Amino acid sequence: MSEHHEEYLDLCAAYALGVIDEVGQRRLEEHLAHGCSICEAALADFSSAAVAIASTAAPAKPSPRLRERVLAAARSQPRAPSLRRRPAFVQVVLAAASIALLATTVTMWQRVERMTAERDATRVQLEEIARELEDSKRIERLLASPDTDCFDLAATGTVDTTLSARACFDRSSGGAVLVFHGATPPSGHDYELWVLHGDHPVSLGIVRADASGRALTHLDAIASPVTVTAFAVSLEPAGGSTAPGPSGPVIRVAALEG
Amino acid sequence: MTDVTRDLDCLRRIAAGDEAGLSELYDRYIGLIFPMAVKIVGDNAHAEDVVQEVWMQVWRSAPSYDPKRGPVAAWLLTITRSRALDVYRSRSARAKREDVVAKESVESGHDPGAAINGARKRDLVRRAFAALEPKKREVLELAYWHGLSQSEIAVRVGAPLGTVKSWMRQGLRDLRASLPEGEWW
Ligand SMILES: [Zn+2]
Repeated sequence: MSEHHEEYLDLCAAYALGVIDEVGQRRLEEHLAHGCSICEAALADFSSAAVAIASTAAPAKPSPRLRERVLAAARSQPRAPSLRRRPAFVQVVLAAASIALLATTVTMWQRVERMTAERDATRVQLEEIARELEDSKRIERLLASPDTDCFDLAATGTVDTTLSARACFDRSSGGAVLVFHGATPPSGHDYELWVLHGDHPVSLGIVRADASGRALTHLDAIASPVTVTAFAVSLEPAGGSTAPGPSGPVIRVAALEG
Repeated sequence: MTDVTRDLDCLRRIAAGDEAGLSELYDRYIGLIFPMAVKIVGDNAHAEDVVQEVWMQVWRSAPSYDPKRGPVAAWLLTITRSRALDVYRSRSARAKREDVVAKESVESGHDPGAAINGARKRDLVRRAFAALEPKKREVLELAYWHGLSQSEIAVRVGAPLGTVKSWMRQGLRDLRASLPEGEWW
């Protein structure tokens, strides 16, 4: 947590007025990334005031043709970035996934040891471990399948983030495994994973990472895999979005080819 | 749906490539961003070019909007202002900037109630701005309309940098305090 001091409010003012320099902006972003309710409130107030300054401009109307010009330009420039298959990349993803798997295995190993030492391992806990082991076998099968496509979730540039994410997705079975690194959201926040069907987002839940910021999400079968168009990660208030879609900025995204 | 969620919904749809989302946001905010572009670049034709670029940027970078940094209106204005200042700075012959003659026109197809309401709000804001302490108003104008940095303003007005910073901060705070609560535009 970077501690708040008065100087940050000057940076907030400069930010709201659009006259912050690069160094200042970096410092402010860094401070805000750790969460600061004072600065967040100031930014809201200052930006409202900036809107007020803007609205003192004398009224003016563009020609009615401008609207059509804008929409036509948008039409000619499809928004969603298309992602091509990059077979060589699969190797990189597999490597990243096995690191995550190794971490899982180590964790389980430690748990078995601890439980043996405590000698009170219940049947339920043992079953849980068995399930986890079975799960990792299924992940290995998914990764080995020739139908599985692996790709990076690209940064959108919204928020400076350490988060990186890779996905392997089998459209025929709907099986997916996603690997996250640097998944340490600012305090009071969570990363939430989304799958898009057309433009309709469906939450795949919060990304729960270990202390080192690594996380692995395995989905046995995403519903109607055929209509999946993208995977995305958004930054949300703790507990995730309460809206039907992301409420915070989308920070990582991968669009799939139809 | 509140204004805030409506705006967010538009941006979500734009991010998904839905043109209707862009069209809705255009109608909601063109009345705010076009006058600003005109004021900075000086004429309607250049302002229209600016506004076109603004919407293309919105179309491309809707996912990069961060609600924590301010409302959607503020984000749109930030983009508009910076595009307009670029155009203004790059134009060799800087036409003298004059406020376009105020035409509070009620054109056919426009809701007269909304126009009157808009005029009333603008009047309220103008008065709040005019009521600021002159020094605070001046630094806000130099920063906002002329794009001068805090140190450039310090040189221009002949005051220490620290003083300029606090005028700026207090100016924004005073202005906010004299406006209605919540989103008032
Ligand atoms: Zn702060």
